[in-house]
Amino acid sequence: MRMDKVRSKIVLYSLASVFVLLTAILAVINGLNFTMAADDADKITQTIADRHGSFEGGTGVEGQKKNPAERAETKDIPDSGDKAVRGTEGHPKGMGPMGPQSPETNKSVRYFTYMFYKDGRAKNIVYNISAVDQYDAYYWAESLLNENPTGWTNGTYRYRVYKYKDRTYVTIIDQGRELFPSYRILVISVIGELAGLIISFFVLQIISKKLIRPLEDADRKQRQFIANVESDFKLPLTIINANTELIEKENGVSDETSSINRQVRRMTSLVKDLRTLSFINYEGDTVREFDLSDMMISVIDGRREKFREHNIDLTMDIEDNITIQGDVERIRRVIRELADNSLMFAKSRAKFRLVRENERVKIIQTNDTQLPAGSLDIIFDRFVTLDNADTSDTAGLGLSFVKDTVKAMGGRVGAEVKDGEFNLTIAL
Amino acid sequence: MEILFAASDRDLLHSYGRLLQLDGADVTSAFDGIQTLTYLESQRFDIVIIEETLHRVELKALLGILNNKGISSIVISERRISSEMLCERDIACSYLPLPFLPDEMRACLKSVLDKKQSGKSFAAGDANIDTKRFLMDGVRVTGEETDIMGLLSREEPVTVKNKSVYIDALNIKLSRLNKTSRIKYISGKGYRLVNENG
Repeated sequence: MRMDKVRSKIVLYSLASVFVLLTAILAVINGLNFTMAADDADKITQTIADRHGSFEGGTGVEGQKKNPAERAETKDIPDSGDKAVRGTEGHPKGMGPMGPQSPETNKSVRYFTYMFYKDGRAKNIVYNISAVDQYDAYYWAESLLNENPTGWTNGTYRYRVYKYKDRTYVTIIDQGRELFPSYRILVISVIGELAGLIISFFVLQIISKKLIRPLEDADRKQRQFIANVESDFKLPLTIINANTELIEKENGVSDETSSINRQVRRMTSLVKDLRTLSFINYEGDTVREFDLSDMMISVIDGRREKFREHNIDLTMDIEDNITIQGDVERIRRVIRELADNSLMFAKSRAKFRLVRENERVKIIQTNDTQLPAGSLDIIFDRFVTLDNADTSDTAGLGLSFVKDTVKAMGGRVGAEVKDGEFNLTIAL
Repeated sequence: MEILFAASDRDLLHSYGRLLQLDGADVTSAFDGIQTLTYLESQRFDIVIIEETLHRVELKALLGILNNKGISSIVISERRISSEMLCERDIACSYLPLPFLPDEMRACLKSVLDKKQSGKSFAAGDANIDTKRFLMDGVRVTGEETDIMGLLSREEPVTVKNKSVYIDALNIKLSRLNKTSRIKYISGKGYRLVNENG
């Protein structure tokens, strides 16, 4: 079960990494693509702006119909731009046959330009577009007068607002066809990313199984070793106890037999710790419904005398008839650990609450205690004992056992220190 | 006192066999299940001490045979004692978990044999306990469980070691027997036998 969780985490984190990487790469590619499209559109609108509203130059729609010679007579129209637009001098620097300033641009770009006088009058300079009628075009251009000098409008249209003499010009060009490939690339990117994630998921499922196998083997061997060591120590200790007594009966008590007895007691204590570790690792299957209220009262109240001996004022607030499904022995052990924890760390007050909140059952242990700085981060780790005279005989497995058991039941454990009080909350 | 000590570990057999002999008991050693059954057929014993991992026999079957013959038994257990173990159909009169001291073995033996010899029947709640035969209304119970029921019937504090496991097992057995009595912890009073219905 634990290895399954490790495997799930490997797959999840790997997928998250793939997702972040793919998203970053595709975001950059698509971002650049759209940025470059905007740049190209701006070059076109700049060209139009340089020619005061139209590729052909001129101050009115009629200007489009004039031939180059006629247009050249008009004051507003420079006569050199034509060649650049037509590309009669070859491709100017930075332009190419497909670029925004190619010779075909003035023929292929769909656009319109309105000129606005200071007194509010407007004049249509160019109307070279089919998708927008003139009426809508006028109001559209008017709405952009106070906007940024350049930008996207209505999705795929690029605009430019510029001044010449005392007039304001608004040019709007249709970039739908130019943007269509970019949008297509975006959609393909998204589909490709999803497909990549799905394929990654299946590949990771296969790879993670192989990756985890050595870890599973090592974990299984460790658990087996702990269980075997615990088991293999017990009988020899029992036999040594008996033989020591036999020696003492036949030859009397000696320093040596006393020493053997002391060492056996030490080893028995070690076996108890190994038994706890073995119990933690054991993933028990004896789950049934039982009265948790009753269990809490019996375990904690049963230690009332010990709390009194330690001068700790014990309070219990246990809601009646709370039943849960779980491994009875493990839960009883959890409550015992909480009670023993209070006995070790509480200064003068210890309180235990059992309440039902919505769908969850909560056990809350509160002590007035002074934990060493930084210890909240490690109290649930194995083999951690905090500086306290009463902890000298413990292996530091109690709260680790609490956390592992509660998590195995799908519950949560949390601890905090607030206003000098240590609160440990278990939600089942 | 005639004791049959059945264990596959020879050092265990030798050490405790010798200790019990020095205590005045007549100890017969059996190294496996087949030898144990052979001895049981040919001799009479007051009590049988069995190592849980005894070779060449299934423990439950052996306990069934001993219970049918009315012979008391103690099982030296490698496992933690659990309420599920105690609720099996055929169980021992007592379980001695490893590691233990010789005095713990002696205490266990004395407790079982005392009950066997002079145990009485009594009522606890709506259950009837036959201490001599280690039965509660026909269901097998251990010596510790009869002690607990005795203490509860007299409303005395329950001082049995590992009592929570035995109390759990007793509640399961009372439920299976459709008894209304249950053992509950009353704050300030300790464990009490209460009527589930009121």
